[in-house]
Amino acid sequence: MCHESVGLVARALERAGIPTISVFIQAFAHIAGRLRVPRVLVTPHLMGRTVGPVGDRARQREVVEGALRLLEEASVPQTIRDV
Amino acid sequence: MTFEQFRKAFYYGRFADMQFKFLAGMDDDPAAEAVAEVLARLGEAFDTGDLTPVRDAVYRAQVAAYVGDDTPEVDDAPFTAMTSSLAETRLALVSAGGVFRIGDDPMGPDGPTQHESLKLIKDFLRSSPTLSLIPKETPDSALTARHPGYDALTPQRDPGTVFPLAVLRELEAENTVRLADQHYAFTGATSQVRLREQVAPQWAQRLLADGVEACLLVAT
Repeated sequence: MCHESVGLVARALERAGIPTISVFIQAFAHIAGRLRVPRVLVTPHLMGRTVGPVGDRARQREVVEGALRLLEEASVPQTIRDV
Repeated sequence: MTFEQFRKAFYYGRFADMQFKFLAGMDDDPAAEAVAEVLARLGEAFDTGDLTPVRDAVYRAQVAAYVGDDTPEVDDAPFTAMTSSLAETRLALVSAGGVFRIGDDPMGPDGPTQHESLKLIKDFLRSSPTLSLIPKETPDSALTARHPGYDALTPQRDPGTVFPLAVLRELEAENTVRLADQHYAFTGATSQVRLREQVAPQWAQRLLADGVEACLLVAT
């Protein structure tokens, strides 16, 4: 549900001219394809810890940096990458 | 209680638990195997002290359980290209994790606790979501979260799990990114029709008016 919501917001932002990068967990990565979300970084994390585990700042930073790289590098819609 | 009743009780029932509600959507046999696997790894962890195999067993079960999702498919793929570098683009964070500033509850000063919100899941799914505004300098200690679709005790312990504003500030201090003044969060368990048809397009205009030029979105 939440991943679908983020997909809908990403699509609305892109339509308005704002480029987006969405971070999804693997369990819901298939939703990115169904909603044709523009750019998606997929993390191998448990639900509720999309960016990284509690207290693991190094992992959280690694995910954010990976997401921002994808935002800059993706040149076509529906670019999906694993972290 | 039958095994079917047991596993379904994790989905907003007697054993309501957002970490394990995926059991309700599985058939009996794979659900039984998942529970047995988690217990076996837990038994080992008593001796090894290493919870990683327990976490990995839950992760594998979550991925297997949610694979049959029936999210509707769409035909178009909107896409806006980045036209300048990250260091020159005002970036905003948007999280669906139900994060908000302490004292700025989108459901008012008497808003439900995380535990209480689970009983309101149907109301959430019928309602329009509210966009919480979170200024750039807000410390993690000033944030909390509530969400009836996952266990928001996790971001209550560490907002960086779903709202990595502190990491983004680190990157801005290193001149890697340029952050917008305002960042945003909402509760992703919400009316999908209202979000798609009305709310998300309004939020897009709001963010444009706030000067946002790119967004990092986090799903939960």
